[in-house]
Amino acid sequence: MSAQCWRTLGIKATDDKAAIRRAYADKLKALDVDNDVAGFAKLRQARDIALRLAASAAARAAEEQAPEEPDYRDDGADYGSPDDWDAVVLESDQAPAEPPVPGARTRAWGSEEPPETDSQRIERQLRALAQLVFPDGNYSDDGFTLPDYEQALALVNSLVAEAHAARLEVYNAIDHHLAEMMAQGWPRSAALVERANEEFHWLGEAGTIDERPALRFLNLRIRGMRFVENVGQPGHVLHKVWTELARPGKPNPLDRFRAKKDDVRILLNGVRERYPEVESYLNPERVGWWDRRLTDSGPGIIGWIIRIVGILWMVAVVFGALSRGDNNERNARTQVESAAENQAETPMSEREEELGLRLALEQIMGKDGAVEAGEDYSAFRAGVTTAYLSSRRSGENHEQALVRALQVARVFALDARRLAEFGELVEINEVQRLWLQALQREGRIGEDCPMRKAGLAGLGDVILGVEPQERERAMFRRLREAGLMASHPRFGELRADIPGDVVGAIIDRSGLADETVYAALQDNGHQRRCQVKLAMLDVVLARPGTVSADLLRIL
Amino acid sequence: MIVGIDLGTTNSAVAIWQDGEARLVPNGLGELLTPSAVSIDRSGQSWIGAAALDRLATHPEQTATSFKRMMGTQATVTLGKRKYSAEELSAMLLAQLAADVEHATGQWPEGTVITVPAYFNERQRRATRRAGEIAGLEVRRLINEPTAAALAFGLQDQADREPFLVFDLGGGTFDVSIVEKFEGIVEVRASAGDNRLGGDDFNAALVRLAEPRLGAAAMLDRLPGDRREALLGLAAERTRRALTAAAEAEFAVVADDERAACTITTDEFEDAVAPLVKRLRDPVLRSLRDCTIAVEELSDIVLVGGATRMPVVKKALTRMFGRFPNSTVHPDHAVALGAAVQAGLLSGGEGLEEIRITDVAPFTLGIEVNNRDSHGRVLGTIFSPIIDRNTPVPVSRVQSYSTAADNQQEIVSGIYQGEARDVTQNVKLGEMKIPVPRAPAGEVVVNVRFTYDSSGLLEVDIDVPKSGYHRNMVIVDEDDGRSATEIARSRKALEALKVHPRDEAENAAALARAERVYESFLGDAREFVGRWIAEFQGALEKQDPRQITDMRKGLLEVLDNLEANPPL
Repeated sequence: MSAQCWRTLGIKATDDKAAIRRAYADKLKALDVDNDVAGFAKLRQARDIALRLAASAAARAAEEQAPEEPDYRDDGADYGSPDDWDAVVLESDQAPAEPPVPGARTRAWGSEEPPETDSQRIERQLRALAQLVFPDGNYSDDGFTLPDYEQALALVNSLVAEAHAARLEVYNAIDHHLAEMMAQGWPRSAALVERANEEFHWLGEAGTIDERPALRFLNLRIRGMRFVENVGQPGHVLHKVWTELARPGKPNPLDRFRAKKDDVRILLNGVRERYPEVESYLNPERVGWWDRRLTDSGPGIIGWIIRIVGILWMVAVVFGALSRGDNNERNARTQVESAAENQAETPMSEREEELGLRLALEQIMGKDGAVEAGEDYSAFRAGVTTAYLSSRRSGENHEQALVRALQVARVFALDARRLAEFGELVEINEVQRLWLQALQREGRIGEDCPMRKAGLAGLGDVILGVEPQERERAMFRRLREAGLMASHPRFGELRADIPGDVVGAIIDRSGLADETVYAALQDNGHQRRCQVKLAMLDVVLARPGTVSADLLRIL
Repeated sequence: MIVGIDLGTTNSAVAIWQDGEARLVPNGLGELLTPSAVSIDRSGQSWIGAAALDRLATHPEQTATSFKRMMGTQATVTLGKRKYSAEELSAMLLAQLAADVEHATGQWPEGTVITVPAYFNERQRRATRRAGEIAGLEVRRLINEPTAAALAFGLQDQADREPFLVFDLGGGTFDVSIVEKFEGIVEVRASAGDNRLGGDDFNAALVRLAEPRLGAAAMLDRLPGDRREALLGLAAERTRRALTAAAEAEFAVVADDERAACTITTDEFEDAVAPLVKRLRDPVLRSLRDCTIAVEELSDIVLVGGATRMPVVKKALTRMFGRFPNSTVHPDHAVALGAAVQAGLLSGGEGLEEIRITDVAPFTLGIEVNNRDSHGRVLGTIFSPIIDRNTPVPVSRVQSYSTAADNQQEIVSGIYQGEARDVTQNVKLGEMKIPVPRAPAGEVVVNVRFTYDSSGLLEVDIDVPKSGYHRNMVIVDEDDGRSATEIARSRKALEALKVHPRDEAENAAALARAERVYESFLGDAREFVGRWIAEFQGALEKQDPRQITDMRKGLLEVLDNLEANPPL
């Protein structure tokens, strides 16, 4: 593909930027762009690729020409080991232009600390904030303790002030880092978001098509938070409905009178459309109860008459039944006994299968994996169950069936990215990276990589270590909580553009040739596909908030 | 001959390409900038330019300024006896500028290049074209203001330049463009902006700051709304300019023999406009992100537009970029000069054969599609982009869609321009109705191709492979059907107005200015001016040209002195 660009430009492959531009200029002047739209697009694209190739070649050349570290041991004086010199170089921000003078050695032993640069100070504050938002480096959904909160808020204020006074790229970097940190650390970070939003106007990007995924996540929640605050005020139109629906306790028929049906409909529809996660503040039983009332068209007066008649009739039946009570009890007992007999006749294999299935689910999801399927879990559970049982029934043993079940589960997780929010998107891709890292450790990341063929056959084969497996289980649980396991996502093909600078970073990271990387990115079955994929995950996951959500979905 | 016109919110200018260089053409008062102001009284007498601006103080209900902000809307202003649209007012201004060119060169311009903010949407651009047509000018091309400024930048040496950023803060709009020049190619890499941010907003902030301090001036409360607004706005403009050179300035309003004033310091002003200055950052960031250029790669920051003279803006820029902005282009002239270069290119002017300009689409273009949630339920509609913003133009892109329901017979979808996911927040350009064969949902594929050319014309090609249906649409304004008659009607209405002949224009301007100064002073100074006005009017009646000229010169000197050294 890259050879094509030189043909379009009409020159030989070269690293000379000026020559590329001249070629482009000549070709452009010979074109009538409005009548040859496709030709213009092709020419422009060819030039961009050519410039990118030239730029990466230049970068590599610069590295190779870096001066050799001079060796001072030759003249016999004692300057210490080369490691000491390394210590001196690391202290300053840039590589020293000349070799260090012997007396400089004393600086390494900390007689005077060089002043902290701006970027070091900002990094230190970001790290301190990250430690507060992610205690012990882990995700936590507990709120801050008061002293932690005060410290975190002070850090946010300080970072915001730094950004305000700084150059654009520093402002940009702080904006990105805070957005990602707060999105990934939600809901613990909730108390800090408004302050950051004040400076960076994250809400201003809300609703735009290129809203950064971290912001998309946060903005919904900021608006949700504001809504919850407003609706909690007594003056709000929907305040009464809200407090009623949020009230703890079981709903009873008399609650009908506590809120108007229309208001409830407006509140629930509005919340579901605009601030879906705010629904978690409401009492789910009450909401379910009202939901049913809203979808029932309601009995009307005839219905009420029927109901009263029905009640009277039932009262009569009950009286009659009580007089015949003994009979019924005896019947019930017989039923229970026959069920027990049936169970005794159940073949061993069925119960063994059930046991095996439960084990498999626990293995995949962790301890509550085998819990009864609720609506939020149905599709996933169905898929995994089918895979496991059909494997057992075709004669395979438990381990083999587990592999099949795991494969289905993992494919499900990858597919769930289509609908996932930012936090889950990042988490799923992190786990995908764990798979590739495990394959790499086993030496199975080349042509025999199970993740490079369509259908991801063999994904169940990837065995994770103890910690990564815990992480995978946590991810599955998180997907379940996010409601992504309730149904199969079923839309068409997704495509995303990979920004040029990301491609460049992938090339660097993987250490492969440019053409190889380009080819592997476009071909699912390429022999280097998994290696490139691992490099891509490394690059993107370092700064997930800066790429488009679509890219995170198809990684 | 084709001319280049900068039709600005506060000031306009016209320039031509002559003898191998771009030159501004002075107006009837000898100035290179003509204020974008129009005043019309009940008798049909009209004033355009500086005279109209002066009449804003004395006859605000007959005067309109900053009407560029109304372009693309149906809003009208009542002046004199009739309602005028933004296009008609702009047309009057354009006609005046064309007349200035005719006076300077002896030829009426056969075509014109008019500049628009890069961030103007389709409606606003069409309105600008219509204004040209009403004025009797053939609009050969609309060019983006930052692109024009980039053309003017380095006009003398036409050297190659690595990507530089054009920062254009005018009276009503803010545009940022990143442009690169090499081998005679002027390439716009990205554009962004804010159509509702300009010098006028800084004035409004100053008014909000100063008004409460004018204290118990009952005089202000007694004024009718538009007069009060006009006087406050003019005072803010004066004070803002004064603050550019001094650490504090007076904000003063005079009306009906009373004067109310307060002092504003630079610090207070900067605090009051801090939120506006914050808004300057976002378009810069967006344009840099869109073309993935880092700030340190920029070779220059080029300032365009009068509002960039404000120290608060310069400070913010220095902070943002870590370097001082470039001041080699004249911020008020660059756009008009650049337009003249484009005009020269279109007419094959000398010295310009080897230049090509490539621009970008400033907004995303797309259609409306169904939005589904994780359960497959339809949640309303969402914007599906087909051409991303900042794609080099001309461009042609195609996207495939499918039917959403079983046995669907027709797909109806709107065509939109904008960046919001919710289509109601975007600008609707048109609608397509596509008949489709009955089939299960998702089985009928529809291909929609958008082609956007360098003059901003959007063509839509729809094809349904399953049925062989094919349609080509050119997106024209839904109003265009009526527009031919509307333009004729507007032209007729404008022709009915009385315009000062050129030789009278200076006198009319002098009178208007004198009247404004009269209103803005009290006591002895006012009486003094009043007497001069009477004498001047006397000379006009006698119609002795030499006497008129002498009187006028004297009057203007008096006015200059008074305004430079106002009595306390």
